Amino acid sequence: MNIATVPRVRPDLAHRLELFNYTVRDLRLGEETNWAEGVLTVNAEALKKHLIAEAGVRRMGIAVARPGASARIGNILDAIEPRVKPDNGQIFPGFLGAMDGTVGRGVTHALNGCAVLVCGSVPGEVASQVVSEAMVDMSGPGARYSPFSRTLNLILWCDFYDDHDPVKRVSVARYAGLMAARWLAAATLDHVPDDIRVYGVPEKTSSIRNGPHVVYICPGMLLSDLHQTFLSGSALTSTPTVVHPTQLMDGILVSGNYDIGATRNPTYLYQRSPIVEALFSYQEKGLLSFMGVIVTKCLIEGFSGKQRSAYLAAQTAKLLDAYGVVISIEECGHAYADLMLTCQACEEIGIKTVLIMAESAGATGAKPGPIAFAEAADAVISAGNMDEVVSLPAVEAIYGGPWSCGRWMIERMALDAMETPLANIFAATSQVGTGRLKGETR
Amino acid sequence: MTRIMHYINKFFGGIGGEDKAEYPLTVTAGTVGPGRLLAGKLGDAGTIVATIVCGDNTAQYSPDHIKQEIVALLEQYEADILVAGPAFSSGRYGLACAEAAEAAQMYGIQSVVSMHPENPGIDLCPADVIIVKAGESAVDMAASMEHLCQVLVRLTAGRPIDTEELIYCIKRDIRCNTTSRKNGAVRAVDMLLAKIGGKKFESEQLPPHFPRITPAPPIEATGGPVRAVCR
Repeated sequence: MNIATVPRVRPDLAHRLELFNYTVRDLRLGEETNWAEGVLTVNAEALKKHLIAEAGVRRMGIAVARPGASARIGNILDAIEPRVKPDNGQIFPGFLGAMDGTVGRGVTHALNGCAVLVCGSVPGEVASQVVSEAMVDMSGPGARYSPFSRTLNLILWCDFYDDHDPVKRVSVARYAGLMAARWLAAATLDHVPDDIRVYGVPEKTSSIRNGPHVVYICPGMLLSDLHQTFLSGSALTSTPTVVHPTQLMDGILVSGNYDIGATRNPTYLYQRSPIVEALFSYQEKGLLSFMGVIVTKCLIEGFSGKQRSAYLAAQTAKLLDAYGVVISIEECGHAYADLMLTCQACEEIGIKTVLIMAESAGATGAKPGPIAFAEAADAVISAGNMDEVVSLPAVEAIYGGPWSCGRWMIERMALDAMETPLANIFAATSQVGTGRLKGETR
Repeated sequence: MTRIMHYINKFFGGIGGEDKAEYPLTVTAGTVGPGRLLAGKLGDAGTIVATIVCGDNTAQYSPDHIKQEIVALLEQYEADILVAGPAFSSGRYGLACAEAAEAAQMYGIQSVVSMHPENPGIDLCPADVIIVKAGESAVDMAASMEHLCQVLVRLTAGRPIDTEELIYCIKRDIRCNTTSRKNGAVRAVDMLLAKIGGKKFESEQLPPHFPRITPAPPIEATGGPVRAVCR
């Protein structure tokens, strides 16, 4: 395929992004960094040098974990898909460059099938908040749950300076992960992709404006410096913001949430948002028109704050001409009050809603439902019970540090067989629609 | 004939009261205490091959060890079903019954426990345990055993235990994880299109059901002070 001859289809899409997918079928460490015939080879020494110089990590371990390996990855902070934009386009705006008109527009290169997993031990409290455990097993019964048991993973194990406090540590690791993602994807810049997808919301006058108008409302976690989400580099606020779905693909949302592993929305799941993908795929079939994404914050303090955000989000959806919305969520607890209020606010003005919500039903499944459940919430997808306990076998290799630092697994040797609630498994019950896990009543 | 293992605590095992709460786990071939009543009711539907008696504190001190011991005994006696209780409203006994049920699950056989609906042991029972309502105390032994027996007769005959039909079984609405063919995002968009199109759809999570309780009518004013009597 020659890039110059790619058919420029669908000119009636606003903010149109061409996603050049470079499929990664194998990931290796080697002398040079390149992508060829589906094999991504990484010069670990060069990457290490780059990240130590640019991101502020003290030392860095780099390893590869493939699906099926007897390997466990612990202390995971975030997952990122390697992406880059040619011709001075901005990727991860607010972190690696400025927010400008290229974000979500033009061409983006993506190394599809692999993920950068940034790991690091971050003990200690900040304003009573901690970094919780998030782990991934690459094989065995634990591999059923995390989406990152199925990706080829480049593990960046960050070692921090002793005088770096938890907030500084996660910030350094965040930069390292994003920089590594762009650095790796740069290996594709002179290559022809094996797949090109074109995305965009339909123009006002577009002939493809078919079916009901649908909006995606995407609340992100923001509670403290250890549990936050960034919109173009700034912490989310409870004032809803409309973004193009293609801007998510260019990393306008970056995760800074290191709380409960299972209900985190890692950066990867914003870049390759399953809800955005599903809505675009249905738009392609002429079943709906995807009108945009509303980004807002969850775990808002105080009831009036929650109401403010919920009703502002609903009226923003109405102004986008939404007839229906899918609402995702991050975290649990009183985030469900945000979710339910947003649902109620939408239904009150005639917007049909579907929510995605995990369950915290206890190890035996007997605990009662969430703290809030609106009467209007009559269409709720379950992302599974995060309290279910799974038995994981001993593994041959552990990455991300020999000791887990989470709230539940203090000083437990991570190589050993263990029992753990799904809550500790990275993105296992993520509420952005990635998993096939769901709860049912028995 | 179906081989039943019966689990009871030290009190019903005839060992003693609170002073025997640390009585070790022991096993006796055949029936002990309330098991005799159950065996009489069961007739040919099943036979109690052995009875485990254990102190309630012992069961809480080292649950993992106790569960392993029970699993070994289930294997030794080739048990098909484990029955625990009735524990009535005794909290620690209820917890011990839940533990025994967990051991049965580990060994891979069905368990039936009997306890009062407010016994905290209910929340700790694994999802597939059948819980039969018992009265508040041993005064209700006969009725509790009758219900337990009816469930066992059905089980041994291979008939389903329908909690709608058998109102003396506790319906728990246990949430279990399962795997769907489609991911959550696709299910969400499918559900949204069905909802918009006025078609039938089934929500995967339902609001918790809290029954409405009609308040009692106000006490009629007598002119004088109202006296509340506590009994």
